[in-house]
Amino acid sequence: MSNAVDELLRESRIWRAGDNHDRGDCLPSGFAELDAALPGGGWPNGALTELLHANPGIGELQLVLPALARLSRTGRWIALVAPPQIPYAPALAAHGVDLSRLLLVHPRAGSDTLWALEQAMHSGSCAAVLAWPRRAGDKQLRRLQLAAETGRCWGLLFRDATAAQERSPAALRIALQGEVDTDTRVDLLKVQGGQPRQGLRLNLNNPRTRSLPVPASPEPATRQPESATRTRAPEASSARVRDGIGQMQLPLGPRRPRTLQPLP
Amino acid sequence: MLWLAVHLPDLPLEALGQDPAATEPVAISEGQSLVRVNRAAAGGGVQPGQTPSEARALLPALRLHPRQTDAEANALHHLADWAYQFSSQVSPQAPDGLLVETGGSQRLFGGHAVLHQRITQGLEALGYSHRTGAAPTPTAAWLLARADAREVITDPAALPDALGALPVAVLDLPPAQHQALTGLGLWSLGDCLALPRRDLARRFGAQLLLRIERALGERPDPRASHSPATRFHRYLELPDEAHDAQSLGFALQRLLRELAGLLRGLEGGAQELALDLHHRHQPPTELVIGLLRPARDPEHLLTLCQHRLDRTPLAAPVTALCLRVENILQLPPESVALLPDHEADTGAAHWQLAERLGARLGEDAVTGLSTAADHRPERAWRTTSEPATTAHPPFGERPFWLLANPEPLPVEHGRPCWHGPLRLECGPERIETGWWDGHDVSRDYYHARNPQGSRLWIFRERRGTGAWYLHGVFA
Repeated sequence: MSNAVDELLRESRIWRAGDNHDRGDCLPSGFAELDAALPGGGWPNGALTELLHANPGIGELQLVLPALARLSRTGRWIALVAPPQIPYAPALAAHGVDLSRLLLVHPRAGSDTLWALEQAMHSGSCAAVLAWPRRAGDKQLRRLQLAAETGRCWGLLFRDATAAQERSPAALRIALQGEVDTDTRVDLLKVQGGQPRQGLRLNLNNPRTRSLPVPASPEPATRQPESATRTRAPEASSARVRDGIGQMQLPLGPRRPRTLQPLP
Repeated sequence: MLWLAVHLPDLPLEALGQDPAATEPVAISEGQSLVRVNRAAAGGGVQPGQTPSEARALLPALRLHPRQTDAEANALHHLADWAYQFSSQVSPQAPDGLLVETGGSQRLFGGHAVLHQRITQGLEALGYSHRTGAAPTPTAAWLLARADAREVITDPAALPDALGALPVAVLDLPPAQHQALTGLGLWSLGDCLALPRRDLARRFGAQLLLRIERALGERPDPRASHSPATRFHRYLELPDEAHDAQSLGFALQRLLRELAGLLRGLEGGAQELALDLHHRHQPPTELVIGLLRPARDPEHLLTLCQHRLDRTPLAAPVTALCLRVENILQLPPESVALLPDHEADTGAAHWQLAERLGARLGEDAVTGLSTAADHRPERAWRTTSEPATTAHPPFGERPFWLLANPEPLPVEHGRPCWHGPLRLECGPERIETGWWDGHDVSRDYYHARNPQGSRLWIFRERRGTGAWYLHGVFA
């Protein structure tokens, strides 16, 4: 009888709750809350990560840029395969990505895209490969997963939010939702070796630089109280400029800048 | 000194691209007699020495080709170039043999048995059928190869016994002299060696005695050393017309292996390959395959050439291939670290990846990225082919995605809209520049947010209409 139970437990289809794969090979994401929720304390290296979002511009790349910037300085390369728009070099440089280690690949046909992804992940010379696949079947994703394992590469796939219903062999699946007045919502749909987690809020989508608002009326801007859910450290504040008509006001505290009226 | 002699009996067939083991009977004719037949023809009863009409009577399906001695000489010359990777002393033995001095390099390759095996395997991969023999003197090695003795004699004292067993046919004497020898009852070299030397010379000529003495090592036997070419220019005819890129793979592999042998011998690499596809009635199609770094690995070069051929539609069936490498560049040997270091090993792998991607997707599909010093956002970046490290600090926060053409935004109730009315958050940042080349811009840039939460980079034209445009997305 004990033999039967032992055999059953040895089967790979059974996952035991105490089984935590200790993956030493993880990339810290730069966001403490996210790292705490991920096994190994960071992005899974040598596996695929899927980022699902319905709208562009909600901070999906801000989430991965700290890790990419660090990876670009390790000596390996970062490949962007079939980006939907132009990746803007000054923005990447401002976030600390070493541009001399960036490779842009523009395949013409869809079949070429998957081939290029597999080649880049498999070669071992790319530390991270980013892709925006329009259609990716389960079999193709499995091949990419295998290629990422062979080449010890962090594979990042940005897909539409409707892909959350499909099966995927990715080690980590994250859904992002942009909000207007609060931080971006991050849901961990699938975490290999860990628990899914909903409702993380990360400050991904706020202007980073000091803005230069022109006051619509001559009154000085009122200072808004600091919000409690801020996770980034406050920027280095400079001395407050004397208020005056025509002087530039530097918002030192408020997370959300005052909205402007559009110029007539 | 240990010499390896290689005899290529089927060189007349192979120089024309014909496979001796093919199923169709093929024979090479010179003048009014056949010089060489392939196995299928020999099976049908055709033999060298017959006249073409006799042969055709025996085997109506026989295909006859005239012998091309310059093609054979060319093939032998290229084979000598290829063999230069194994030894610094290579001597072609016209018309169908090669002598390689292996005693000097056998220690590098791990013993003469390993070296001989590598040479024979390389010859098979190139498609040459061969007979080999090895001996301390070149003439003895050649005689052993002609007899297909498959012996390796390393001790000069064993030469007389080994040579004694060979028949006199290996000496390649003119028929009259051969008949005179056999008429006297001398069937093997041992019989010749048993006779007194001076009488042998008087009866059959000093040349015969000189050859025998050179074979035994009693007289010096200098051989002209072949010096390898500094360019690679090889023309190979295909046995059948090729209609697609797949059929060219075999011939291409042979050409690239020969090239790799020459490059290894010269310790160099090729950075540009010119491949010409010859057609019957049209001028040849020329393809140029460029590499990012000089390389000589035949498998990698074959992958690149095949990807390039897949991308090129064939205008007409291909009858012959010509591979040219004009510049052979120095390829310094790789220095590996004592301890395995994963990060440092990726340099060569990266260039190979970029070359493979470029070969299949097109040279302009694989680029790098760099910044440029210009205030106009659409000109502040460019693609590069070499990695560049220029640092231009941006003046304001820039979006991750830039649209190639700014998209005009509809305005509702005085607010620009993009999937909903936009709320302006930061700005304006005024960019007004570019008067010197005619593309001057005067814009006010704002950060905006739409009701779904997307953060956008929009601008308003200050001149003219004052219209709103979307230029980037903060991802």
